[in-house]
Amino acid sequence: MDVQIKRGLLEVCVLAALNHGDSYGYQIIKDIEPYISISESTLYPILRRLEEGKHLTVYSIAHNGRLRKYYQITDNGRLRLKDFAKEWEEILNVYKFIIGEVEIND
Amino acid sequence: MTKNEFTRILKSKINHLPKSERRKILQYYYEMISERMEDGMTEAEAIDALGDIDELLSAYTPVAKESARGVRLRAWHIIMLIVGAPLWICLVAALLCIMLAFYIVIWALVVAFYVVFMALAVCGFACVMASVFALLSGSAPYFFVLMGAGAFLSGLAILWLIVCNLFAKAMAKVTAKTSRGIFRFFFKRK
Repeated sequence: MDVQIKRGLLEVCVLAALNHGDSYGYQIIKDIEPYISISESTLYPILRRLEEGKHLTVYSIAHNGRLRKYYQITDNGRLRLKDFAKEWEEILNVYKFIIGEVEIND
Repeated sequence: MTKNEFTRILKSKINHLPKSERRKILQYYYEMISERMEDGMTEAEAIDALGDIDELLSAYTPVAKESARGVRLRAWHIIMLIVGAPLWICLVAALLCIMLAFYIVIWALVVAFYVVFMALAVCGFACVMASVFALLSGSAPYFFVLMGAGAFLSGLAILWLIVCNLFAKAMAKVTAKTSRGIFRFFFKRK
């Protein structure tokens, strides 16, 4: 998948994973992995960007003698999810147009 | 790969980042390794699953958009420089003249200080020489007065020389600092 498209999709996927409740890094990866490939190294920049964009907040909880970071979606993040859902129809139209062009040329 | 080996490689790759960021990244990876090991993986398996460190570093590399903006800004700067030439050339020339005048005043003052030193030294020497002549001509009061004045002026000259050197050093520092500041302003603003 194109890197730029994947990056955009992953951001929304992370927000979607957090929409059901607060979660931690490894759990987010496990939730997303069945749909799109992701690793810890890929997740970190996404979490950082989402935090900078105030789409999520971070807090820590003690777990097995260490601190586990939890991520919580903000109202801003929920708004982003809604916007993505609205834009989906538009994206689908673009997709259909591209697929149509590819089939015609084939 | 062991955790120590991974840490060594990771540290070498994130060395250029601020300390707080380095700490966050290390904590993040350690947390992820612990999570995977708690999930039943071995240390080596957990580290292998972390993915490419370079992907994490993409969060810190400037995007292409910024460099494109830089090119556009440079072109815009060139246009502004050409259009505004009649104004900025005059202003820069005036600024340079003011700076030059400032330096001349400072160094004229330094020269004036050394001239005062020379005057004191010459007067002191003349008095000492005159006292020798007074001694030879047999006039004791003149000898004592001139010798005393000569010693006083010579002492004052030595003290004044110390003041002159300190002042000259301070002025040299001020000149170097302002020159460096001006140079940086024009050539090293990044």
